[in-house]
Amino acid sequence: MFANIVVIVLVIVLAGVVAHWTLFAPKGGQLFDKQRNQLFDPLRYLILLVLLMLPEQKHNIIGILRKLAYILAFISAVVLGITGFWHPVARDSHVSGYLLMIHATFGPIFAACMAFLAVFWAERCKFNRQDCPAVKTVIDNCDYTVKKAAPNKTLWLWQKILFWAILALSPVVILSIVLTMFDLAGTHWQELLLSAHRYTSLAWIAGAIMHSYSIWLIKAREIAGD
Amino acid sequence: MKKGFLFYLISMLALSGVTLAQQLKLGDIDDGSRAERVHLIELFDERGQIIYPDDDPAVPFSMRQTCGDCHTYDLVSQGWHFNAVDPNVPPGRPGQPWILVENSLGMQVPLSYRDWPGTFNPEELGISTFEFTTRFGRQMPGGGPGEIPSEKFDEIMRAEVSGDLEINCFSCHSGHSGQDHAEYADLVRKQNFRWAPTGASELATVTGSAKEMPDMYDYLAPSGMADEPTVTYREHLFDNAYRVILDVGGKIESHQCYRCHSNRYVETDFSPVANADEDVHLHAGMTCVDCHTEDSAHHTIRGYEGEHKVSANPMAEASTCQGCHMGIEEQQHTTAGRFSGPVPDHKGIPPIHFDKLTCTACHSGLWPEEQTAGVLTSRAHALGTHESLRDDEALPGIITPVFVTGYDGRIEPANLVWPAYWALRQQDGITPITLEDVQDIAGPIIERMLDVPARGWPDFTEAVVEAVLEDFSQQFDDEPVYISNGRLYYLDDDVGIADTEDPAAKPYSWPVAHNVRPAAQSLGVRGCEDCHSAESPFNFGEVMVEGPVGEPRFVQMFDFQDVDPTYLQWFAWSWMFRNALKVVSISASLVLVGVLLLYALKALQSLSAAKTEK
Repeated sequence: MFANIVVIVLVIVLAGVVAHWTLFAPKGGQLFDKQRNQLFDPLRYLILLVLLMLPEQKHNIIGILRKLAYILAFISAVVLGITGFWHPVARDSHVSGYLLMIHATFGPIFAACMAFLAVFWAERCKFNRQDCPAVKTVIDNCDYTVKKAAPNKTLWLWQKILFWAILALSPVVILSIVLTMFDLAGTHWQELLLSAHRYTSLAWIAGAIMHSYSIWLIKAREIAGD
Repeated sequence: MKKGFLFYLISMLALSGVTLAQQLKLGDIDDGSRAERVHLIELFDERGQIIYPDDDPAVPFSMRQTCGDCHTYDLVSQGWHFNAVDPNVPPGRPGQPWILVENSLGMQVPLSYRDWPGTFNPEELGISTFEFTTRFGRQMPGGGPGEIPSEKFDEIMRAEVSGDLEINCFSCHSGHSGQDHAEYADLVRKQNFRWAPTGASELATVTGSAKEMPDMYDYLAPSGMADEPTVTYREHLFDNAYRVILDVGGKIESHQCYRCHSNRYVETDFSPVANADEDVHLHAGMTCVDCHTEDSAHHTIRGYEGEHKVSANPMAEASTCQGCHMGIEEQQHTTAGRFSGPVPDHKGIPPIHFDKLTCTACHSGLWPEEQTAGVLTSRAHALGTHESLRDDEALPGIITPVFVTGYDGRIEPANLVWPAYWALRQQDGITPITLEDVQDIAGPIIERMLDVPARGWPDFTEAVVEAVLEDFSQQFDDEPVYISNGRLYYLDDDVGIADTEDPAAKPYSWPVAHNVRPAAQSLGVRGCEDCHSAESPFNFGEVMVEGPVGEPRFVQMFDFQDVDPTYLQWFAWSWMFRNALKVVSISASLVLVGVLLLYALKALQSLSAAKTEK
C-alpha cells in the first residue's frame, strides 16, 4: 500500500508543479533575453533551474555556510529519497544492502544541515502581518477586506508555510528512525516508528518539492521582472 | 478459518483414501479424552496368532498385527517417520540425511530417499533397501525401507531370513524403563529385523543373529544352530488371559525422542554448556511432541515456516516458532502464546531482521565462535547405542553452526557435511560410482598404499587419488573423478592430478532448530555487534573444509550466505560510525525542536502583543 501511496503522492505533486510552471512561470523569452536562440538547450535550462533554486548568498562566512548547508541538504534529501523509497516502492521490501548503507551515511548529514538551516533561515521565514492577512484579520477583528497580495508575496507566504512544515516534519523523520536503534521499541513499535518514518518522509519530500518550486518560481519571476 | 477447514478437509480426504476399503479402527480417531489409555492387550505374531509366553518355539510379536488390531497400520505408515520411500510425498525443507561413511574408501555421502538437493538416493550408490536398513535401521523406527523388498538377487533370501523391519511403535511410544534402544540397534545390526521390536522391549529377550543363519533358515522351524535367533518372553508380565500391559498410552516424553535425536557438540569453548543444557522449551516443562505433534496418520510436524503448504497436519502453521510466539497472521483467532509461550518484544531489533533471518538464526544451536565446531548426532554417530562413535574425530564430520541461506531465502544456522565420494563425470553431471565398485576397485589399491585408521580419515595423498582414478579410468568409459574437501579431483595429463571447484563438491547442509537457547543467550543480546562487526562469526567465522585429502582448510561463513562479502565488510565497518550517527541525528533533532519552540513562542508573543496593542 505504501508503494502506491508514494507513487500517487509524487505524481500529484510533480504534476501539479509542472502544470503550475507551465501556466504561471515566466516565459522563456523573459528569462533568457540574451540567449533566446539557446533557450531550448536542455542542459542550459537544467542549469538555470538549479541556479534558480540556490538561495541568495551574502558575502560572509555565514552566507557561504548557509548556501553550503542548503546544497548539502538538497543533495542529501535526493539521495535519501531515492535510497529510502527504492526498496519499499520497487520491491515491496525493507531498505537493505548498499542502499541502506548510503541511506544511513547521508542521514546524519541531512540532519545536521537541516538543523543549520533551521537556525539561519528561521528568522527570515517568520510570518509577519503582510504575509499573513488571515492572522491580521483575526487580530484586528474589524477589517475583513483582505487586499489581494502581489503574486510574489503569495508565493513568499507559501514558501514560509512550507518551510515551517518541513521544519516541523524533520525531527519526526529523524527521531522516528533513530529511536529504532535503541533498545526501546519492540517489534510493534518498531514497525510503527518505521511507518512514521516512511510517511513523514513522504510528506517531507512532497513539501520540499513544493518549497523548492516556490523558490524557483519567485526567482524566475524576479529575473523576468514580474 | 478457511485454511483450518481446508486442512481438515485434506486430512479427512487422506484418511478416506486409506479407509475406502477399510473402516477406521478404534485407535485411529482421537475421541477427545486427554486421559491416558491403558493398553492391556494380547500380542500377535506375524501370522496373526496370539503369543503365549511359553510357546515353543517362541516367536517375536509383530507390530503390524499387535498394534494394527486397533490402529490402521497402513495409515500410520504414511507418517513422516516412515514415508521417505514414497516418491509422492513432498520432500519439504531439506533435513538431516543419513550419511554413508566408509573411511577406508574415503567416502562420506549424504543419502536420502527424499528428493533433497545435495543428497543421493541410496540406489544411486547401489545400496539396497536391505543394506540401508542394516546400516541405518538402528535409529529408524522401522517401516519405510525396512519393509521394501530388496531387488538384489543375493539379498532376497536374506530378507526372508531377517524378515521385515516393521514399524516399531515402541521406538517412540514406549515409556517403559525397560525399552532398550541400544538393544534394538544391536538387533538391527545383526539383521534380526523381525525380532528387533520384541528384543528391545521389556517383554522379552532375544539372542542370536539372523545374519549368521543360512539362506534357507526358517524361524518357525528352529534347528538348534549356534547363534540362532531365539525369543524368551518374561512370563510374569503376562496375565492369566495372556495379555500384557504396554506403557504406550501416555504422552511421549522427550527422552523417547532422544533415542534417535540427540546431539553432542565437540571442540568449542561453549560446547560443555551447550551439552549440559537442554532446549529451553524442555526446561519450561514442554516435551518435543508439544510442537512436533502428529495426527492419527502420523504426519509429524517438523516445525518450519511454510510447512503447512505441504503438510496434511492442520496444526503445522500454529506449531512453528512464529505460530506459537507471534500467532498466525490473518487468522481470526490468534495462536500466539500457545503453551504459555511469551510473545517476544524484540526491543531494538528492526523488523528487517525477520525478513532476512529465521528465528533459529539468533536463538538456536551452538553459539557461534571464531571457528565452527563439530557435532555428533544420534543418526550419524549412533549415539546411545553400543556402537556409538564417542571420539571427537568420529566420522562423518558434521560441522556446526554454519549460517547459510536456507530453504526460504533467509539465513539460518545449519549443520553441514562435506561430501566425499568417487564418481564419473558425464556431460549432464556427476554420477557416483556404486559402493560395491569402489570396494572392489579402489579398496585394494588404498589398502596397499595406506594405513587406514579404524576411525577418522586416512591421509589420502594425491598419489593415492591418482592411482585409484587411473584404475577407474580403465574400468569405465566416463571420466572418473573424486569429490572431497570441497573440490573435484581429476586426472590431468600434465600434472597427474588436478582439482577444481564443482557444484557436486558443495557441502550439504540442513537447518538446526535445537537446542533453542534462552533469550539471554540469543544472538544480539550483547548488542548489534554480535553480528554486525568485522569480527563477528555470524558472517566472518571460519568454516572448516575437511576430507581425506590433505589438511583441513577454512572458508568464511559468508560463502554460504547469499550476500556480497564486500558489502558485508563495509557494513560491518560502518557500525563504527553508528554512535556518531545517533549523536548527530539526535542533536540535530533537538536543535530543530528548539527552533520550532522558540519561534512558536515568539509567534505567541507577537499575537499576544498585537491583541494587547489593539
